[in-house]
Amino acid sequence: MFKHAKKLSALALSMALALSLAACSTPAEQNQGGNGDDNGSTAAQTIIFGLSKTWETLKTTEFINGATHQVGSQIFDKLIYLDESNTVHPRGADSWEWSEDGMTLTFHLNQNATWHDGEKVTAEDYVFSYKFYATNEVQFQNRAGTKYLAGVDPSTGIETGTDTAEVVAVDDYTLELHMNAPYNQTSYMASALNSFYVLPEHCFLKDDGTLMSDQEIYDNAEYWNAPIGSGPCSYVSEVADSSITLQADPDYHLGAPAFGTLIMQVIDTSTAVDKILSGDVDILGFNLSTEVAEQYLDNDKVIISKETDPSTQVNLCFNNKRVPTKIRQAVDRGINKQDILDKIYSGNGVVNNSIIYPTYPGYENMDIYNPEEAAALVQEAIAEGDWSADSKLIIGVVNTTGENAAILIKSQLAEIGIQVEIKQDEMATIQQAMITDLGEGSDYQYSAAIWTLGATYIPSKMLGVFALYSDSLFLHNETEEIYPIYEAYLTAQTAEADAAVIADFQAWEHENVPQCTVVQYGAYSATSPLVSNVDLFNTSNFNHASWLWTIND
Amino acid sequence: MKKQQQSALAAGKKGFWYRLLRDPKAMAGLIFLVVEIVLVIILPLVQGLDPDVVYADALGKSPQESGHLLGLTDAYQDVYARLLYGGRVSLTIGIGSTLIGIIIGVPVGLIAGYYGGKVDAILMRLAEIFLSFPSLVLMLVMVAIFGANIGILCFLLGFLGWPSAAKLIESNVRSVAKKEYVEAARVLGKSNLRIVFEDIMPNVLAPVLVTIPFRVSAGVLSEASLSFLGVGIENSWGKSINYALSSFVMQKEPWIWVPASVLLVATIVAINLLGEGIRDAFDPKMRR
Repeated sequence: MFKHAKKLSALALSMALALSLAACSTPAEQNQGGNGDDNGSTAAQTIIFGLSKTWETLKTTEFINGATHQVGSQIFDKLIYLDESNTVHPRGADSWEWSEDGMTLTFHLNQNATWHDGEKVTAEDYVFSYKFYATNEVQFQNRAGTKYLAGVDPSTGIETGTDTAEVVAVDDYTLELHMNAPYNQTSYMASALNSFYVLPEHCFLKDDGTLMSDQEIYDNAEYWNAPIGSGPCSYVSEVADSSITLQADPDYHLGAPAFGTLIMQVIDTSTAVDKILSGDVDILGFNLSTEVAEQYLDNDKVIISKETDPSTQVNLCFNNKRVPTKIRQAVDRGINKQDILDKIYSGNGVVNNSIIYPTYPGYENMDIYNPEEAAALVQEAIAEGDWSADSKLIIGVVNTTGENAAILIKSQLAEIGIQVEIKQDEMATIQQAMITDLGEGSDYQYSAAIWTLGATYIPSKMLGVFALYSDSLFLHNETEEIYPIYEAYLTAQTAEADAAVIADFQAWEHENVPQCTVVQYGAYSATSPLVSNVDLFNTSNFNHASWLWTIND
Repeated sequence: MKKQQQSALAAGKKGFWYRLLRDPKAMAGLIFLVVEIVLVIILPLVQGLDPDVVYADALGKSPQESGHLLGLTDAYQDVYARLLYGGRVSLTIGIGSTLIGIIIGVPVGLIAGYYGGKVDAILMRLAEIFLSFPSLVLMLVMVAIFGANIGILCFLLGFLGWPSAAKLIESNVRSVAKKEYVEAARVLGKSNLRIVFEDIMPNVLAPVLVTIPFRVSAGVLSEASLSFLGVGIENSWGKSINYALSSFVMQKEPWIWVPASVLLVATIVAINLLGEGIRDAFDPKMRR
């Protein structure tokens, strides 16, 4: 009897284990409808969107990283959205116009827009939102473009007094933004509105009908933990740092998304395509490396998409306190950037000698590769005592692709007389070492770093990154010189003035070389055959137009 | 007495070499290692190889396209040159770390075992503290602080290896220290230091000598592990295998990582075969 009891117990335990393993599937597996098995209705379809990192919060005032914006832009609506070619399209607003003096921007809102609880979205919601983002009562990170408004400090985006941000609801569906300067309208539309998300005023009323204080709004956990927005999807639930489940809003004013449920899930980027092949993910919210993408070009179980307009920029960023001007110039002219593009990035992209987007009006692509001139510059720097034959350019790299590019650069710079040492580390570590570098006469670990970042079509962001944030980003640029150019760009009212500023900037950039832009390569990404019309490369614009995605049979 | 000791030792050694040279597996391992060491030292000099040169004019990276025996890396550097230089790095660190571990561990074990008492207790507790550290984690931390080059890795790996040698020696010394010839040496007025190094050490070294090949292979493997994790030395086998972390390289560019993997495995096997042969030659009773 006991002999059989032992066997029966083992069998029972095995069955219990098998049953428990079957129950422990991920939300993705539980919700997987990847083969259209929901009665043929795409409206019931679940789409899995792969994130490269976790979203940090659903509180719009703290939206910083790309993944957070990717999630947030589905729940919350904006006035406009940018497509992959940086063309501005209506979203919360149907249309808009600038006043003649460029100081007032009037939006005509879409009258069909509603909150996920059914209430109408009105101009008062936008006024409420802008004033909240500009509040001086609470400190937070995302001021949502308020710095351009009259009554607001342009350097911080915080209102200068109480309720001074000049935003007016002319009527229920007309919104006026009064500017503190006549800004470059192209730049404004493509950058200032990107991080603005409209919030529902009615969700922040107290029981007596009065509005909460800004601190109370900020601290309102009940709202922020399950926010009500007016975006294409409403919030359902989340597993912290893992996945967030959203439901398509059938009443979305630009058209109901074709799917029923959108699960945005953090995935391992190194196995991203495998996840598509296995049916676990439908859309990648990040780019693939060229070498990975090219393996799957002929695989019909995954759709590899390539950016038509290369937007990933590879910059060799200098610590300008450590590397003298002539050496920076020598590096810029001594690197065979076409060779790097061909060998490291398989020729997929363009050589770019500037942080300005190659297709931006007024951009000039100077053909600067000149190793003889570069070698002469090195000798001049040595003769002037700013550099020595034993000096080394220590380049920090963060991954194998960067390392391979640095190895090519090293061999090219050796020919013009510059020694290079390559070190691999985390970008935060490299940046910190360069930020805290005291300059000549002190010890240092890195004098340059290869930094890959998504370039944007609108120059203001790139100018801002390499000028405004220069010190905190390790470049230690001569920002006194760049500030006037940056401000001139921000207020250039005509296309001619815009192009003239860009020409000025490129001339300054060519002379000073605060960073050496190497290439701008086209990114790849992927989807499953289930979905089409996905704006995969819209991550840097902080929006994916999910209401335009289509589901294939 | 001493002459009897010496002739017994000599007879033992003769038997050792006789047994070792007639062990085919040990000899295969030894020949492989000798040839490997000679090749990694001589070939780069003879052929003028440089692992850092970038062959930017190559038409491709595969052996067929590039015209290089083992092809080029993604940075267009010669895989064959990096393989040979990697062998230098791995073998140097394996051998160097073993020597350092023994140079530190043997005297510590001798002193601990001979003096006993508090000295023994302190030294052996110190050894146990070192043994209790997770060595890979400790090495990662040390490399992060001090950087990675051949000298530093040799020292770190050797320094982490002394406790096992010390404990091995210490246990043998405690029993040998009670022998009559040691007592006789004391009575004759020999200093403790001379007794330890002249009378005791020759009789307790054998177990440590047997472990030398295994220590070398552990050193080679530790260096390869560190380089595989990206914190080791640039031109090493581990670094070449590290490239296989990319699924593209693993599947489409096997020439970059396969040779280093094969050579690493072959080297470890050869060293271990030699080690087993040495162990069996020292004590035939341990043969299976």
